This record gives sequence, C-alpha cells and structure tokens, in this order.
Amino acid sequence: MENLPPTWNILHVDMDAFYASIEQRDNPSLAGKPVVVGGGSGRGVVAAASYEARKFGVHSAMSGVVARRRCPHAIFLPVRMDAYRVEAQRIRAIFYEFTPLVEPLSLDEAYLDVRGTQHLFGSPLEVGRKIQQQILDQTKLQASVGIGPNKWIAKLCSDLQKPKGFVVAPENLEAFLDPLPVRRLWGVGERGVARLASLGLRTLGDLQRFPEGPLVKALGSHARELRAMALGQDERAVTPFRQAKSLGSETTFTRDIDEPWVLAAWAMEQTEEVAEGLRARGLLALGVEVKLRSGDFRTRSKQCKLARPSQVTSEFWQRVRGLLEDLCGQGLLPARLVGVTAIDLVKPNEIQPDLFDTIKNPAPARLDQALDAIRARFGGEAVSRGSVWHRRLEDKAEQETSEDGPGPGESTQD
Amino acid sequence: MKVICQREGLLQACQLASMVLPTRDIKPVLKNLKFTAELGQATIYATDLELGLKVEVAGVTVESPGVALLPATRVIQILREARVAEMELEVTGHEVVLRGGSLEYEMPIEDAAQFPDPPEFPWDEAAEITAGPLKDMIRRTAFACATEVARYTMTGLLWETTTDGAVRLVATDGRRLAMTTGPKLNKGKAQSVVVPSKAMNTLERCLPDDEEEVQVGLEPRQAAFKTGRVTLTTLLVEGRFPDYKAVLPKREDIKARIPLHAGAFTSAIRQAAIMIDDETRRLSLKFAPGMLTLSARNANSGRSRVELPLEYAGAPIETFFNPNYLLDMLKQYPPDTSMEIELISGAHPALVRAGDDYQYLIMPLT
Repeated sequence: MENLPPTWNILHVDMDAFYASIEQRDNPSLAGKPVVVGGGSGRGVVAAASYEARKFGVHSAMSGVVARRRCPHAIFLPVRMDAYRVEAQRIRAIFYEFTPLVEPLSLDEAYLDVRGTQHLFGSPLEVGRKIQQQILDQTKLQASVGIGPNKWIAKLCSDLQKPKGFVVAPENLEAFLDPLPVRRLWGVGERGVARLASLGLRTLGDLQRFPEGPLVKALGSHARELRAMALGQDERAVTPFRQAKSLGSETTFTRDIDEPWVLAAWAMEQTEEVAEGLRARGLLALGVEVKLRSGDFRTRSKQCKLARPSQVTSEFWQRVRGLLEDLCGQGLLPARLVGVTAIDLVKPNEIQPDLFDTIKNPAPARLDQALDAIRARFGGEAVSRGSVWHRRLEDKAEQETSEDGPGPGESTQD
Repeated sequence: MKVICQREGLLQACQLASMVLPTRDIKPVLKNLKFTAELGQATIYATDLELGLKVEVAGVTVESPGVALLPATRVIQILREARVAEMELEVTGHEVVLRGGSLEYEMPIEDAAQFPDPPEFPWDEAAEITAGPLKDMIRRTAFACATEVARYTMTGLLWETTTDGAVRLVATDGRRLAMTTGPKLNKGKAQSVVVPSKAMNTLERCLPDDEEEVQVGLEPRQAAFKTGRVTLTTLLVEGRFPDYKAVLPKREDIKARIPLHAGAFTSAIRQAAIMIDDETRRLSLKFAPGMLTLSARNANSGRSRVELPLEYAGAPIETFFNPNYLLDMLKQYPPDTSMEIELISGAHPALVRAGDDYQYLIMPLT
C-alpha cells in the first residue's frame, strides 16, 4: 500500500470519543472507566461517551435517562465546551502545518486536501501518520485517519477501525465497497435503509449492480448520488474553513419589559457576553446588530459598523446603546426579546490596519482582560457593571415576591 | 405664476439640482425642487437640509413671478420625454401645470412654505479660485473619504487654506489618505474646515473644466461655492479631522524611492489581483533590484505572479496592499503619468507621489 494511486489526496481525521477522552486525560482516575459527557441531569442528551461506556450501548445524542439505564455505573460529567474548543484549536493548528485546505466538520473532525504537498511533507500516507502522531504527542488524544480519493471515501475509511484507526482505501474501490451495508452511505438513515431493502438492496455491491434508470424511477433524483457513492465517486471539493460570520446572544423575557433601562441592562450583559466570546475565540467584529421583539411579536433589527474592528466591550456598547435607543423609539415597547450580535467577524491578521490607530487607548481592553480573568476564576456573576447588577437585584426582588414561573430564559447562539 | 422655459435649460437645471435630493426619507417635501420665478430670472433649488444647490435656469421668460414645488423625479421624466423646444409652467388656483406642444401635465400644489429657503451667505467675503484645477483636486482626493457613519469626521474633506491663500484638500478613511495642494485663492486667511464629501462631489460635477473662476466662501459652520449659474451651500462636518501630518512619513526615514508608470502599474495590479482572496484582499508587492513582483493567492482558485521591470537598486522590500486602494488612486490619472512610490518598510505606510502636489498614503496589510 506504500504506492498510493496519485489521486488519493483526501484525508479525513476524526478524534476518538473526543470530549470523553479529554475528560479521561485531564482526570487520570477516569481512565479505563465508562465516562459520559452531558445528559447527567437526566433531562439533556449525551454529548459523548467513552469507549468503555459505548460497550454498554451508550452513544451520543441519546437521552441521559436511557444512558443511565444502560450503564448505571457510568460517570456522568458536565460539558466543558471551552476546554474542548481549546483542544480543537490545537489540533486544527496541526492540520494547517500540512495544508491550507482544511475543512472542519465540527470540533473533532475535518477533511484535508494534501495535493501538491508531497515534496514538502511526503505522501498522503506519511502525512496521515505524522498528523496522527503529532496529535497524540501534543494533546495525548487519539485520532482515526481515513485516506482516499474523495471526502466520502476518506470519511468512510476513518470510521472503519476506530479507535486509533488508520485506513487507506484500496485502489479497487468497487470491490472494497461491495460488501458494506447501505447504511454506511452518507445521508441514508433508518428509513432509507428500509426503502433500499424493499428494492432488495442491502449492500453497496447491490447498488453498484442495480441499473441506474430503474433506481431513479424508484427513488427519485437522489438515487444517482447514492449510486455514485456506492461506486466510490464524490465530486465535492474540500472547502477551507469559513469562520462563523456572527456571534450573538439573545434573551426572551418571562414578562414583557417596558423600562428602557432594564432593556439596556440586558443588552449590556449580552454585549459583554458577545465581546467576551470574541476574545475567547480570538476574533474581531466589524459591526454589531441589535434585535428587539415587541410583546406582540413585531421584530426589528438594526445594525451598524464599528469605528474599527473590535473585541472591546465598551466599543460595542457605544454602538449597541444607540441602536437600542433607535429601536425603542419605534414603538416596540414593551419588549419580549432583546438580542445583541457581533457581525462580520474577522481574524486579526485579516484586518486592514489603520493609519491613525498607532496610538491606541489600552485602558478599555485592559479592563476587559481583568473582568474576563475574574469571571473565569469566580464565575459569571462575580463582577458586573452597575446597570447589570442593578437589574439582577430587581430581578431577585421580583422573584421573591412573585412565585409564578422560572427566571428569565436565556439563549446563546453561535 | 407663469413662466415660459426652454425645455433643455429647465431640464439641465433640474438634473443638476436633483443631485442633492436626500437619499434617505428625511422629509417628504424634500423630494421636490423649488422653482422660484422673479423678474427676469428663475431658479431651481433642492436641498437635503445639509447641502443645498441653487441653479439659475437658462432661457426663461417670466410672465408673472411666483413659487412652485415640482416633484423632482416626475418633472425630470416629463422634460426628458417631451420633444418640444419650449414649455410653459403655470400655477393656477389648484394645480401646477406644465404644458408644451400637444402635452399637458397637471400636478397637485404643495405648500412651498414647507420648503426650506437657501441660507443667506455673505458673498462679499468670498475669495476666488480657478474651476478646472479645483475640479481635478476634488476628483483626486474625494474618493478616499470614509463612508461609515462611525468615522464621521472622515466622511468629509479637509479644506485648508494657508496664509498665502494656497488650498490643500485632504481625504482619508483611515486606511488610505489622499492629499493635494492646488492654486491659490485670490484672497483670504488661514482656515481649516471639513466639507462633507457629498458637497464636494456635487461641486466637482457642477464645475466647468476651464479657467472660469469659482467663488469660495468659508464660514465657521457653513461653506458656499458659486460658479456660473450654480450656487452650492453646505453645512460643515463638525469635529476634529485626524492629524494627517502626523502619519506622513518623514523624509529621512524613507528607504526606497521607486519610479513607476501609472498605466503599467495599474495593469500589473489588475493582472495579479485576478487570483486574490476576496476576504483578505491581500496583494503582495515585492520590490527587488530591477523588478517588482506582484502576487496573490487564494486557497480555492490558485495563485498569480506578475513581473514588472523597474528602476530600483536598493534592498528588497515586500509589502501587502488591498489592490483597490491603489487602483482607486491610479484611475484618477492618465496611463502615461509618472509616479514615485516611497517606502520605509513593508509594515509602514507607503507614499505615492504624482507630481509635486499630490501625495497618496496607504496603510499596508499585516
């Protein structure tokens, strides 16, 4: 297998039980034990399960109740998304050492196109080995690698020998795919399996041999894609990472809010959250948007550019305050929802520097750093701006006097 | 009111005035043009409350004076479609009537009192400058103005008059800066005001190319310009224009002075930019002895490499620019213009000079 066909340039790298492995790594007493991340409260769903827990039939997206029933002795842990994100960034940095053509699918898996890098880093096979080893060396986490001529085959391969798998598709793809069950096909779920079974199609080989015309007649246009996949074909290119275009936070209130200052206090808190999110991700925003929904469900939003690309809370707030005042003046009070979103996100190296920005005022940025550090250590409410604190105080007083219903619901969207 | 107008003259006046119509819906009445007929002359006036433009209508015979508001878009349409030499404009008891040949249009009367009057301006104080050169000066700077509200003071052009009357215009959006010095005013004092870019662009379009004189009046809060049949008045941008002198490179810091031809440089930039990444807009310029190499790369579509021989013998310097910032400036000049680019390093702003009186500063990308 040392001599790959020249088009075998696509890698799929998939971390093994990513969240659960990080927990086991960070707490050695969990090693070798069934660990389940998320779903602990019984109401949520499982975000990840260690291989020890999977033996008992626990898998991600399963409800916590079912997971507990199947594996009562599992150790349930809360989701530590920030920690996983940090690892994901380290792993992504390893990918970029080998090629700029990286398409992350989620935090723990990505496609890489390594064509044309042979003279720098060796064959795709060698690159795959190096990536797997570097991930292990740098993060003590295991990854599975699949290599093939396209995304579909690479992903299929990475999944075949998990954990710590390393599978290179053989040159004769049709023979390789022939015995695999149709549920391996991308986009085929339980219902799809049943429909294919009704045509007598159980393996990819069955699909390969079934003539295209009757297949399209039976399944519609989707049939062509399925058949192409069964033959090992996939035209999709590896599309490099497009970072999120926005980062926002919005709140739906339990009762409509009439007082502009209370709305402003909410917006302030959201502004802080959004700016902090940008800082945590190392991004800057070129603009900001404020959304307001009235009690009778009329929704308006207004956006504007920032004076310069920013992640500084006070620079956002200057704009957010004005936008919110404008919206409040449009007869939308009492309001049911308010939201703040940072838009047009860029990385620091994508910004056009400013001629007049050489003398920056470092004070607001330093204040943000200090607040971030305090909150990271003592929790989100350890320190707050005056208006936010005042609003929270009133909220508490209200909750003490009125007993109906839970506190305000909050939602954050990426 | 009753006036006989030459259609061409009225159409021209309406089209000129309509340049200042508000782009946003600030006040419905401002979508009109105010037509004023006095003894022997008539004017069209339009305003967006910040900028006002009054145009004297050529070829009118005023039969009886008066005022009428004309809906701008409709009236321009009518005048453009009409195939007649003369049209009659009349305000009857209930309507504004525009007729000529076999055409007749009736429009409801709007209350002219609702329409603001042109501000009074003390023209005795005004100085004069030659129209043609001023037109060039505006064209070569105004494109660099900021468009974002967040950079309010940069949405205007700095108009500086030195003690000897020489005029300097400076425009910047923070990423690039254009500066030019032009002919002297015939009188006046040292002054420094920021004129909104809309006013300057409108003025540029009203100015003739020739040696005609323009009257210029600068007041603390407003400015006015008068040329031929056109009078333009504008409120000024309040606030401090950034300290542009502080960012101009010092003569002794310059490491490289490289002569360039506008046309060849433009072609090379456009050729290399075909492969640019649309998000980062990064164009690499490598100045090495005898050769400038421009290159761009895009993860999706590939890369480009364009070579341009030049007269340079110093140490190699690589710098990255958004090519649009170079092209915006280059297209203001004919292809055979000789320019010079001055560099300190790849991280410092680069200065392009065209002749003695034009400087253009660009901040490189990191």
